[in-house]
Amino acid sequence: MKSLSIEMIYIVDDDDAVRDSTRALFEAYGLTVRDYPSANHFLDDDRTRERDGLSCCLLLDLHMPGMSGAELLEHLKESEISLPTVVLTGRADAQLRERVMRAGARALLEKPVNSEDLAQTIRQVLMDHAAD
Amino acid sequence: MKTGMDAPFKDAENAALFQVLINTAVDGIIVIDAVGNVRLYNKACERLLGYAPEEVLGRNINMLMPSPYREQHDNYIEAYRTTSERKIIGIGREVLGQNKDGSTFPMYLSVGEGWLGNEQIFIGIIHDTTERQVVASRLQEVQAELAHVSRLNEMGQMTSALAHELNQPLTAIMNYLRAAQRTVAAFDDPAIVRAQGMMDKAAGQTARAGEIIRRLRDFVEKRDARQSHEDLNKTIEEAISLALVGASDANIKAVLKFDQNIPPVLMDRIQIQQVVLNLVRNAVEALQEVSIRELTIETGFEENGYAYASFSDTGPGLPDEVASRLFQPFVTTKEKGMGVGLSICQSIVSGHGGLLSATANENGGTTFCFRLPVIDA
Repeated sequence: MKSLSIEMIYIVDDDDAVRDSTRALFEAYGLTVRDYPSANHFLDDDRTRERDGLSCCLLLDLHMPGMSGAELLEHLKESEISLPTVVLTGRADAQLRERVMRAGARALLEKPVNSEDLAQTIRQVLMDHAAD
Repeated sequence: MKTGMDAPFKDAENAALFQVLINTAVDGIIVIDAVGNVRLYNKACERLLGYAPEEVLGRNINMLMPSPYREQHDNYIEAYRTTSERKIIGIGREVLGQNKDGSTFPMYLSVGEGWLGNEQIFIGIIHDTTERQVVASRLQEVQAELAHVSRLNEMGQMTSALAHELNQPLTAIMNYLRAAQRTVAAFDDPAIVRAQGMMDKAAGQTARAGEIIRRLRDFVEKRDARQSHEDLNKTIEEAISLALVGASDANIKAVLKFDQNIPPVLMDRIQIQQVVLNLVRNAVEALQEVSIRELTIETGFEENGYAYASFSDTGPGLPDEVASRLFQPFVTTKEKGMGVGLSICQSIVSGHGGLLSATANENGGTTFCFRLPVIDA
């Protein structure tokens, strides 16, 4: 199996503590992290366009004021931006899972997420993305 | 021969007695023939429906019904005569009637079947459920049920909100712990190794707290297991006739546009009926403030797999400051309202994987619409 390294993690979450701690977690593993308190902040950041050729992953919170996580996913899909995305949510039922997956997410995890599970999911998502 | 009060009536008296019975009955009595033409129409009907006998006799009974029953009624009779499957005959149920002035009112209709010689006839007895007494007791029942469902929903909502709020800090705690462990992982100082072990335990306790929340939420959500596949039109129709109890004085014209080709929808029928009840009663209240009082209720099925029901009123519309926060608890236009009705509707509909929306009509008034996913049985 080809080894996959992640070069950039984007975090979009409106909860300051969740965002900051997720950033701390990935930085502790030596990754570059960019975090955004809202979907609009993420879309407004020109630097996100530099990611061509990088191995990136988006960690996206679903419940946010303003543009929701699902809406951001749909927006990315419409703009034909292919960014492997892991959605994090407080509650994940089968219907929500289906909707989020249809909108283009690669995985859906329920909070609080165990960091081993998160790392494993990101690895899997990037592998699936590379295989497409 | 004895002719005292306890003797049976004679034939001649019977004919007169029949007239007296029919025309002094408080309930409306209508007899139709096998193709739906009205053969008998008593005095009470005149009061209930507003038409004089000469306007109705010999004509199709469907003129006394609102759409879509007006268009469907001939088919109902035909279906019964070919299949003998009883939907209302011998049973009776709550339906909507339409007055000559166009207003609709809820009534309890029981239908019997009989033969005059070899001609088949149907006898309908109409009990106006808007009468004061009935109104009071029915309303009480409905309100008790609504209160019960509201309590359950509030509990569910609170649990969901609590779960969400607690999961955020728990996620942060877990992340900080793992980040801290990773940050010091390169050092093998015995104190750091001990601290690592403690952080492991702290992470374990964090996971445990998360598990408790999950179990609590599962417990509250278990009661949603009463879902079954239901006919959306029928579900809505029942709720509307309940919601319009007591609304006939309000002189509201209800227009029903039901799509007859909606597949069965997986739902908790009682909960969806509570949503309909809420939306219709809100509309009825809004309509009190205007002179043109119409409520159009439409159902349909969208290509994307959602069934919908919309409730469009000709009321004064929603003030902007209310419209933007409509589904939040404790937002209301009513002087005495708590403002929880729509937030409960919202939580019921989203609990079904659906959406509830409100839009302003071009010609004034508001349209509420809920969509429910149709999932194959």
